[in-house]
Amino acid sequence: MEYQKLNVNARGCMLVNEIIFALISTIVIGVIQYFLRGTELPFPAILLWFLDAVIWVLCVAAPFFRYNRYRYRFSEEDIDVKKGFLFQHRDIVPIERLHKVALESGPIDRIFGLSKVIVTTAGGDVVIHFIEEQEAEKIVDKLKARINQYAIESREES
Amino acid sequence: MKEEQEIVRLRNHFTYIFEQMWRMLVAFACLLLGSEDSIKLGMELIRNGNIIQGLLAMGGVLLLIIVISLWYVNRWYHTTLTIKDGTVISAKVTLNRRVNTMSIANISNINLEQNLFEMIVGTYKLKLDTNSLSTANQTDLEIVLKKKDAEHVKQLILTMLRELEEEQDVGKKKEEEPSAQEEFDALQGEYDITYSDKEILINGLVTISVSECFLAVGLICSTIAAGVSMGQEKKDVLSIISAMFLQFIAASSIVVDILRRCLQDFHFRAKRCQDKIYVSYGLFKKKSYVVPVDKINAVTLKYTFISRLCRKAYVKVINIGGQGEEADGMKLLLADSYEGLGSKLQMLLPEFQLPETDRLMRPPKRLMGLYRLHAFFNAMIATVLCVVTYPLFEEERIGGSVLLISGLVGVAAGCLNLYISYMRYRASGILYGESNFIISRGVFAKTVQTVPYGRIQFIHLRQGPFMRKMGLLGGEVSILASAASQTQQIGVFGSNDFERLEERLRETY
Repeated sequence: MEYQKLNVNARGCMLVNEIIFALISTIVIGVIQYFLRGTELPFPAILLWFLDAVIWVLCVAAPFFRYNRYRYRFSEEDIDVKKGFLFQHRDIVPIERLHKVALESGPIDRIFGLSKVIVTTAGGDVVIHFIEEQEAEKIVDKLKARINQYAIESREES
Repeated sequence: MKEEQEIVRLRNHFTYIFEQMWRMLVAFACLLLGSEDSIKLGMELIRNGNIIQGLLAMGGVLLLIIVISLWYVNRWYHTTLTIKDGTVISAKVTLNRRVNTMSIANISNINLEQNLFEMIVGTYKLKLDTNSLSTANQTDLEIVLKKKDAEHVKQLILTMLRELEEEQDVGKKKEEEPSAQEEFDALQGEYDITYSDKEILINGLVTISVSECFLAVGLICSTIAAGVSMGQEKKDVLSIISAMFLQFIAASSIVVDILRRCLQDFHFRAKRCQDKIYVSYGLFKKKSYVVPVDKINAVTLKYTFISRLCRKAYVKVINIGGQGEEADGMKLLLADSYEGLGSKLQMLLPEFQLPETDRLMRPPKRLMGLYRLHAFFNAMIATVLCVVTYPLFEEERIGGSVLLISGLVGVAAGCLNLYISYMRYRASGILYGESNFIISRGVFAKTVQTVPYGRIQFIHLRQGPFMRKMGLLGGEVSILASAASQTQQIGVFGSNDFERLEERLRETY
C-alpha cells in the first residue's frame, strides 16, 4: 500500500498552530524584557529579540516542510507514519499490537475539518495528526474490527 | 455477538453536572457573599434595569457561573458510552473532542463506585480499565449512571467477556494455576543456583557504579590534600584529625554501599519450576519473587564500569509489574564471567540465549564524524557561554585573557564530549538473532538487551539534518514494561541497518 499525503488543509492547521506558538513566545520574551529593563545583562538585550525573530522564521517555514514530508500508510499489517521538519521521525506500529484507538480533534483541528488518530499499544501511544475527519473515522472503523480480532486471539493464547 | 448486546449513546446521569460543579459553586457563593458592597450595588443596578452592569458589579461572578455551567452541560451532553460489535466506544468532549474505541476482550477491570453524593441521588460511577500499560495510571473510561443502567452495563460487559471465555474454552483444557501454598512450598524448597559469600562479595564490589567510584576517589584525594594543606598552615593536630575524619567518613560511604549490597543479595538463589522462575535473597530484608517465563519481555546483560574491567556481568529480566524498587528490571543472576552466566541462564531460562557479543554489528565509522561535529558545536557553545558569563566573575579576579580562558574551556568541553562519544561508539552494537533482537549500548557502563521480536510493540526511527547527509538513522523500540524500561534506545546506525528490523518485525505478525 502506498504512502498517503495529507490534505492541503493540514498545512493551514499547522500554520495556525505555529503562529499561536510564535505569538506566545513573543509575549514571553516581551514580559522578560519588561521585567529586566534597567538590569545590566551579560549579553546585549537585542539578542532576545533576535531569538524571537528566529522563532518566527522557523514557525512560518516549518509547516511547509512538515506538510511536504508528512506521509502515512495504514496497511493490513501495520501503521507507518513519517513526519518532521528539521528532525524527521518515523513510527512503525504492527496492527496486531493495538489495544485501543482514539479519534481526537481540538478546536483548531475542527476549524480545518481535521482529526488525529491515536493508536495505543501496550508499550505506548502513536499519534497520526491532521487527517481529514471522514478519512479518520473510516480508519478507526477499520482498525476497530482488527483490534477486536487480535484481542480475542491474544486472550485465547493467554 | 447477539444483537441485544448493544447500548447506544448512553449519557452521564444529569447529576454529573452538579457533582462536578458543587465545589466551584460553594467557592463562588463564598466570594459573592463575602463582598457585601458589590452585591448591594449590583442589586441596585438590576432594580434600575441595568441587568448586565448589575451582574458585572457583582464581580461578574454570576456570569462566570453561567459560562462554567454551560461548559459542564456541553460536556455532559457530549460524553457518551456505546457498546456495539464487541467494542466499547466512549466519546468525551471538553475543548477537545475524543472518541476512544477499545475491544471488550481487552477490558481487565470493571468497577462500580459510589460516593456520598451518589448514594443520595442513587447513581454509580462505572469505571472500565484495559490491560494497556500506557494507560495503567489512569482509568480508561469513567461514566456516572443511574444504578439500574450501571448494573446493566456491568452485567452486559461481564456476559460478553464470559461468552468470549466459553468460546475459547471449547475443546481446550485449561491449565491449572498452582495454588498459593504450592508457590510457597516451591519458594522454600531446594534451589538450582546458589551463590557463596565470596561470590556475593565480588558481586558487591564489581557492581559499584562509576559515579560512586569517582566520588570516593575524589573524597580520598581531597582528604589527603586537606591534611597536607593544614599541616603546612601549622594548624593544631586535633583540628587536622577532626577535619580529615569527617572527609574520611564521607569517603567510606562507598564501603558502606558495598556492604549494603552484599547484605541485600545475601543468600541469593534461583530455580526454574515448569514455566516459572523462583528467586529469593536478602538478610535483613528478605525478598522472594516468582517470574512467569511468558511474561518476560526482555533479558538484560548489565556491565558496570568495574565489571567491564573485570570481565564480569550480571543479568536482569524485564517483566511487567515486577521491577519493584529497581526500575531497570528484576535481578536474575549475580555478577559472573560470561561462560558462567551462559550455563546458569541455560538452567533458568533456556528460551533466551546469552547474546554473542562478538557477532554484534557495530555502527558505521562515519558516526564518529557526526560525534566530532557534536563535540565541535558543544565546544563552541561552551566557549560562547564562557565569554558571555565572564563579566559575572570579574570580582573573583580570574586573571588572564577572556578569550584564552574561554577557548581553553571550550577545548576541554569538546575533548570530554569526544571521549564520551567514543566510549558510546565502542559500546554500541545490534544483532539480528533468529527470534531476538539484541541491542548493546552504554558509555562507561554497558547494557546488552535481548528483546524477542514478538515483544516489540512499535519502532520509532529519527533522523536529524546531519544524520541525513551522512546516511545515518537513530532508533528505539518500545516494549511492554514499566515507564523506565518501556523505551529501549537502539543507537545510531546506517540507514539500511534498520530495514532488517522492520522485516523481522513484520515476520512476527
